[in-house]
Amino acid sequence: MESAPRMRADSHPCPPLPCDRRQGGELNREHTHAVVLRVRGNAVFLPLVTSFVELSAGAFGLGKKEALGLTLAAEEIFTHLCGIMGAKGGEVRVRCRTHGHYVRTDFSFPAMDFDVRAFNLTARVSPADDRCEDEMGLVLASRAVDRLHVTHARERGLRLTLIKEKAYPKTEGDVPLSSRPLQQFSIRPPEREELKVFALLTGKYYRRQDLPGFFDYPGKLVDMVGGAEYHALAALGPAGEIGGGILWCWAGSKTVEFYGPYVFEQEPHTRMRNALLDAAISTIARTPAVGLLNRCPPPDFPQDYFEPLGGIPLLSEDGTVLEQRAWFRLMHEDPGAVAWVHPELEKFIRGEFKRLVLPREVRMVRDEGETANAHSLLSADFDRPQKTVTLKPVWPGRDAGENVAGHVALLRCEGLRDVFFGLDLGQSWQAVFTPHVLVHGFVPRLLLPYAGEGDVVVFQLQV
Amino acid sequence: MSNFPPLDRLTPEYIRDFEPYIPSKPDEELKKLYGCERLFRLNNNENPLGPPPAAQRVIREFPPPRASVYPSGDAYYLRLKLAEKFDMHPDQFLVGNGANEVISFAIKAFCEAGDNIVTADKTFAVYEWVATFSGFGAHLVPLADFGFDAEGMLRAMDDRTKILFVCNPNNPTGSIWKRDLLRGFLDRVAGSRIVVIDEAYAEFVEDPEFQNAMGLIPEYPNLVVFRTFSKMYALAGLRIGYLAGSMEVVDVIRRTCVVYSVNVLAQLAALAAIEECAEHIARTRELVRKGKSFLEREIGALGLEYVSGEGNFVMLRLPMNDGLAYRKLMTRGVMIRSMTGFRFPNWIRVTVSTDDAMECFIGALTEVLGERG
Repeated sequence: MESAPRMRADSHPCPPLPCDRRQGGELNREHTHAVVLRVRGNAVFLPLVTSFVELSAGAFGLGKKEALGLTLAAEEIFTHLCGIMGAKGGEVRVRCRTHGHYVRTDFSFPAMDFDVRAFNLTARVSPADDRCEDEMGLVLASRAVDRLHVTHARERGLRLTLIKEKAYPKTEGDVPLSSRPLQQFSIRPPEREELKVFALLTGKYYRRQDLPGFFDYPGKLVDMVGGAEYHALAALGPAGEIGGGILWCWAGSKTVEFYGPYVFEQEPHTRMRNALLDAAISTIARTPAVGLLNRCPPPDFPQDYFEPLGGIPLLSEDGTVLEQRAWFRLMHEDPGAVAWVHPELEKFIRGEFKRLVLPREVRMVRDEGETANAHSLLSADFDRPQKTVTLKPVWPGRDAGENVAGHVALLRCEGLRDVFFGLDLGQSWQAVFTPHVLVHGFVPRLLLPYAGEGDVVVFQLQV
Repeated sequence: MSNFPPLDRLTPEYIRDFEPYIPSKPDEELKKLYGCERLFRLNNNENPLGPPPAAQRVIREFPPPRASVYPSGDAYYLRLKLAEKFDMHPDQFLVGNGANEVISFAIKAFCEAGDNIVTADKTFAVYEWVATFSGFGAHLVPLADFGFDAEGMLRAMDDRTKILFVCNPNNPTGSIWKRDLLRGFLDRVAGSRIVVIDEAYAEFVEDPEFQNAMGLIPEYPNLVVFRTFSKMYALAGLRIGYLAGSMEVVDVIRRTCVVYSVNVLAQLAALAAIEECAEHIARTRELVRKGKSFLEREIGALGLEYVSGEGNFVMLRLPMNDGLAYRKLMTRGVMIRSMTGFRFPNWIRVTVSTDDAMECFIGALTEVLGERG
């Protein structure tokens, strides 16, 4: 299959949140399909692993080019793992899953036997490895896929995740569709073809810079919703006319990110807009969602439903700076929480807690000379289509400063538009990264309530 | 890979997907977190007058050594008293650790895998929760003009529907089903399903057309009525409620009933409360009448939409996010219930309470709305 154009250069950039995206398939197994391979971490199995990934990707609908990219990344990852595991060669679990619009490959293995340092983007597998840092396996892998990240969980050990999206044809030219005022409408999940019309109408009635890029790809939107990772509601007239719609997806285990509501040619405009939002909120209200986030607010965004979290200046492809405003609402009454804060971030944190009226007990974290691990680990969550990366602490260590510096130096050369750092205030050990993050050029931009174990601070690397 | 239990495999999908309810922290903790010196609890529809005097006396005089003895396992004396009050047989009553527990009893008694219940989408959530985390379906019918939609509920029934839950008066809208509507609904169901009428707020109702469902049990043997001692009788802290129905239906529900779940002090206080309650009910109704009148006037003056039906609460729509309003009101010492969880985004529910609490609420709300500019 020929590769179609990807995201628009001027589409609204929405980098990944500094928390793991909750995959729809984890809650809706019937919508996903997965295949699993278990092998020893030994190079002799490399052809088996690459064949497994390539064939799975093809079976799950990736085009040849995309399947090859995923396979190349898998080759780099498995080679890297074999180098780390050495002669012992513990078990590696490789799982490929389709999520409709992308294929995801996870490499899982227990972490306790390895030096976590080896999973940093900047890691060399052995002292004899004389490649440049930007030729390291993880870096090469990240370039071949759309997203890559490392996660560490007590029950799962370490997991390296690769995501490669399918290619879709892009909507080009004028759309011969329009909407009209609807006196009566009902709200329900749209059918496949209705979803495509909704995407086209949204592209027609809203400016490109106010929309996430996927609206240019109606087929992709259908797969996103069909894969159960995204959810949609549309307002439809008696004859099936589409007057508007709203979309949402999980962004982390506690946050739902939504897009819209988008409303076309309705008078009064607010009636359908609020009805869509009420319906979406009511649907989300009795899920595990704690917060509702919008980072692509359309011009007619109903601000009275939300709280302004702030903005992040983002550089677009044409060199202009767009401020990405973030709006939020909690889905429950805030029960209060503890925030572990380094003294160097105290002023910003207390200021945000006061501004957002968040009930928090701030506990200061200081280095009191206690013994620490030698090596730290950072996860780099790449979003290649948006040219962004988000770093997150996975493991603390005495080399935290050196590690942050190494990542910054490497990432500055990767041609990315933005580098973010997410710090979870609910995990006390993460606070030790604060001075290093600040000293290497990151600036705190946003506080996302309950986006991790606790609130998450999003830093942005200043260029 | 590790000794961590494989929770994905061990946990049923309907439990994995269920959002646990996080109750609010104790008042002292909340006051510290929100930086307020006093806190008016206007979130749980508690009665600010406290329990009836006779119940207060029982609580004060409870001999501590009795705490070492198990209570009556089935609230024997309380059931005798309820039977006398409602002119029914004691075995037509089951007493639970709050009305929430009897909801569980009823659902467990009648539902099995593949079954469902029917209720409203915007009502007391526990019917839906218990059904959902027990692996049963919950068919949710939208409210019609803030009230339960009888026709919609009948349409939502299918072959696997076992129970229809009606909250009357409805929490949080205060709407009621009047006599004809309730009887008509029961006639249409025609005994084919269990119909639960939750009357947690029945003692507050002043509308003469309200049909007390306890009086319909002899005519409709498929009818089950829930009552609580938490609201009018102000025994929320002791957790005690009950259900009533025909002997045959209650005999089935009794099989799922956890005996000894109601503590001795709760049983004694509840017994005393219904023995001597007329004056207490009259005083409470007077407080609610006066408080509602004040709230309706003040909320109207603020230009806000509100719903004020039966019950000791009023629901109002804010021109702002209800979660943010909750936090801002908390910093001013007022705790209300935000309504997003009830599927009423931007609405809050406030308990009708004493004059000083009502004035504090209106003052704080005015400030919060004023901050919006």
